[in-house]
Amino acid sequence: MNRLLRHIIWRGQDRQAFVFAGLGFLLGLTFLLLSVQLYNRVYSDLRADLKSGEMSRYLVFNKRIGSAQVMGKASPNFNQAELDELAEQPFIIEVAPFRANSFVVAMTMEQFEDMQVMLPMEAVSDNFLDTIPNGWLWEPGDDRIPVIISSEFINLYNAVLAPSMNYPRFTREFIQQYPLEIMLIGNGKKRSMPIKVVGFSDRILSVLVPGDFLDWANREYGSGERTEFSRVIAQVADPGSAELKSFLNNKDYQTSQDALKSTAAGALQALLGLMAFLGLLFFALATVIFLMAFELTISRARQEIDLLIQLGYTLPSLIRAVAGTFIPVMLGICLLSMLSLTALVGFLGQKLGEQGLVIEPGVWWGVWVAALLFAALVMLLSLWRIRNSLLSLAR
Amino acid sequence: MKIRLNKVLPPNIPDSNVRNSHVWGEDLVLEPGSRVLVNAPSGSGKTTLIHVLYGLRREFSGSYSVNDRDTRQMGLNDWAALRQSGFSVVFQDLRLFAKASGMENIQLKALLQPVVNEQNIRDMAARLGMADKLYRPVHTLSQGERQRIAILRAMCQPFSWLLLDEPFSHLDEANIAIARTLILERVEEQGAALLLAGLGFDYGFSTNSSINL
Repeated sequence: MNRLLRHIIWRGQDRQAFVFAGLGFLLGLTFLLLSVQLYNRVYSDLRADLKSGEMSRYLVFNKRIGSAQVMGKASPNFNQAELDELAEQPFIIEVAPFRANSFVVAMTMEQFEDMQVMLPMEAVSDNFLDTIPNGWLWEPGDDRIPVIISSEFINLYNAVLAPSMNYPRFTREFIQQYPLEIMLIGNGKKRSMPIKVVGFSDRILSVLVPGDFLDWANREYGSGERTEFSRVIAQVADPGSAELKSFLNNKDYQTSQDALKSTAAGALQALLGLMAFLGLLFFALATVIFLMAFELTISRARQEIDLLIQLGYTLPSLIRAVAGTFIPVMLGICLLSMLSLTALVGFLGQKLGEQGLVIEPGVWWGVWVAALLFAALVMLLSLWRIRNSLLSLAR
Repeated sequence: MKIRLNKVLPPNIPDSNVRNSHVWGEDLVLEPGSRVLVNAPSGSGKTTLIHVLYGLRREFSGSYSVNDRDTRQMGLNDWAALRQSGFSVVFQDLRLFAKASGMENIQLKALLQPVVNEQNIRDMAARLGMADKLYRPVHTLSQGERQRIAILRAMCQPFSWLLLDEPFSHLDEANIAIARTLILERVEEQGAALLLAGLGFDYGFSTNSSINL
């Protein structure tokens, strides 16, 4: 009976409109499920990376210099209590102060006697170095000081200073081989010591020396070991985290703003959020179009449905006949959507893998659940709409 | 199935028709098993009466009851049940699915309460000279052929009342005789009543009451 009823209702209908409505629904559902899949696979992996520290970043903090600091009413330096407070924050994995020189350091080069540079010199816990290079050790009595300098200094020198001052450009290897000397000046004493650049840091913008050397030199040529520090370095789990930003604002601490603004996690989260929103919007529009196509069909078959009711057909039997076409089409589209998604996930996994972003293969089980839920939701919605349309015709 | 019309008066019936009518605005009881001829000239409301009885017209004053049940209390499902096994009808305008075949039209009705199978339908169609036209789309058939499909459809369901609204208007005498025989067989098989609305002829149905509309 249902076959005959469907034959009567669907005969002469615009199948092309249905194909397009079905295609739209397929795309909408696939897009939505893809966003669920990506949210789970990519973002959860990212969250896991953040928790495990794989996405962590190193940030250097200092206090914002305001009028209170200028006028001496507030210290521009971090004390031990403030360091402890920083270490207690959940978004900070590890924190350490920079110990700075309290004496004058001047660098000279044998062949360029007119080149004399006043150097800042700092020491930081070895945990915060990019890598610990060979020769990174100093003991009292050692004559030569190992130094790690920021790669940015070399870049700046070669790109800006050397051409403008007509100085030669240096390669990293040359700098590591070249004999350099520094002059330690303070406490009425002066001493020349050779230094050797043993490594370069992309992470820390400074001239780093081993802590043992700096402690010794501060005692010999400066004001002794410091208990306050002008800046600290911290390893943070997620540089883009709102908690970190809020903490820094409340405490009036400064760091490189760019590091806080743009992070892979933040950007990806925003992207996935946008994708989920667009997916939901697209899906909702596609569902409405699909339902409207069905309602239009019912409306076009108005005379046939009217006559069927006159012959003695009940509303439930007509709903079954219309839904009997609709539900298999819906299920078919859902199945096709899942197949498309499986193929798409495989393709994206391969492409992302080529870009170095390895995501767990396969479709997440939650996506299947989401597909079932969305299908059930649309089916209930359509049964309700079909019933209402038929009821309005029957009355 | 007893039918009672209690001062039923649809709004479109002219006063001049109401004055001489034995139906409109009157009390009328139609007993089970009776054969009623409704006499009326064209335009006096025969089709309206058929539609009222079949539940297609529900806007009227007075009351209409079937087996002492007021039809105003009946919903869609109640009417569906009545149309499946209480009333069978041959509409004056036939009301067939034009793009469907004759067999599909008949089966759409027959499948609601299966008392005949496809072979029974073919046999009845053969008697009406429609065997070779049963599977053609209705819109390709002549008016007389369509009328026979509508008659066949009305025969393929159980019924207590058969309502015929000028059912032979496009049939010749030979086909009327064959159709009448078939109809009477089915009416008698089921012990059903018959109401024939026409222009004063009872086409040999031996009606036992005649009502002027």
